[in-house]
Amino acid sequence: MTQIELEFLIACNDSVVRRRPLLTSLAASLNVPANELYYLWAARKCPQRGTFQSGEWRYFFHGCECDLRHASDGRFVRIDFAPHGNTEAFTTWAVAQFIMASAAPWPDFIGLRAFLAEGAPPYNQGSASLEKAALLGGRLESAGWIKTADLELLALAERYTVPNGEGIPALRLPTDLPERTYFDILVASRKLISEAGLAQLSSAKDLATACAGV
Amino acid sequence: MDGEGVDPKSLNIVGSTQPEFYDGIVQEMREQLRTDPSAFWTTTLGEDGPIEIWEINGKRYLYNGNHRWRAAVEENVAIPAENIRIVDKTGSQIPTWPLHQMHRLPGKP
Repeated sequence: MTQIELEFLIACNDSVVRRRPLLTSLAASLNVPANELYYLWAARKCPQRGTFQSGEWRYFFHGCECDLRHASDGRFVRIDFAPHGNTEAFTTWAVAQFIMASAAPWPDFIGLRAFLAEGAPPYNQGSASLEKAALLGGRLESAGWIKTADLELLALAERYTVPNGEGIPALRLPTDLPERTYFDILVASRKLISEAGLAQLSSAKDLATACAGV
Repeated sequence: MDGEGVDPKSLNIVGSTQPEFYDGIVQEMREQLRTDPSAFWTTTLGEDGPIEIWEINGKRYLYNGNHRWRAAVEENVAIPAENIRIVDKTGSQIPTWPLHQMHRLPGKP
């Protein structure tokens, strides 16, 4: 494992940890529990964008995710929803966005920013290289530290996908499946930190604590 | 039309299931498409899944991938077929907006 890979794993975890209270707060402002937020938007039963926490944060739902941005300091974190109401998932691009836009009181990822940046500072959530973020994500996945949220759902979608007359994949799920199964399929490829990844994070934390004590 | 795949205009999209999109995200994607279209389509497929198109009562609406579809249209590039998925949603009551009534918001979220 390289230092930059470990730092990216830490950032994956940090992006999830930092957004937890925001996600809870946003869900409360839309009158749903956090694990229902995705389904609320998936059925388009809430405004696409707005503010919460007294206007301190802005949200913007699009596709199968929700961007959160601090109104004044530029901090940015994206909620990547996952199947079954799981709110702990991420994509490597979203983690890169979080890294590039992070500002106090969130961590300053100096090394990662230098690695991911496509140009010179100042940086924002769009300053990272998509390819470099994907490269780091791929390495973490190869190492077994992150994993795909739900491989069975992806297999289910594949089973019911056939090319249409235009040669474009067309999905036709059995009609007796709940609508939520379809919504879950849409986010089944999101990433989660694996048990091995959590163990790696724990080791890194222990090492940091030991070093601080020397 | 550059690249092999599906002409985004030939998909006959008439609208979307969301009312708004950000110009800044589209521009960012256009830049990525100009730099390395192959990497763009591979990476975004892995990260965000295919561009999801709902067929509702014979009409096609974007459900996921609004920014990607617009970036492809504006760059006049083809979308690899595997980056698109058509879903039969006949009878769906989800709200929809015609393309010309969508709001193009300035900047990024």
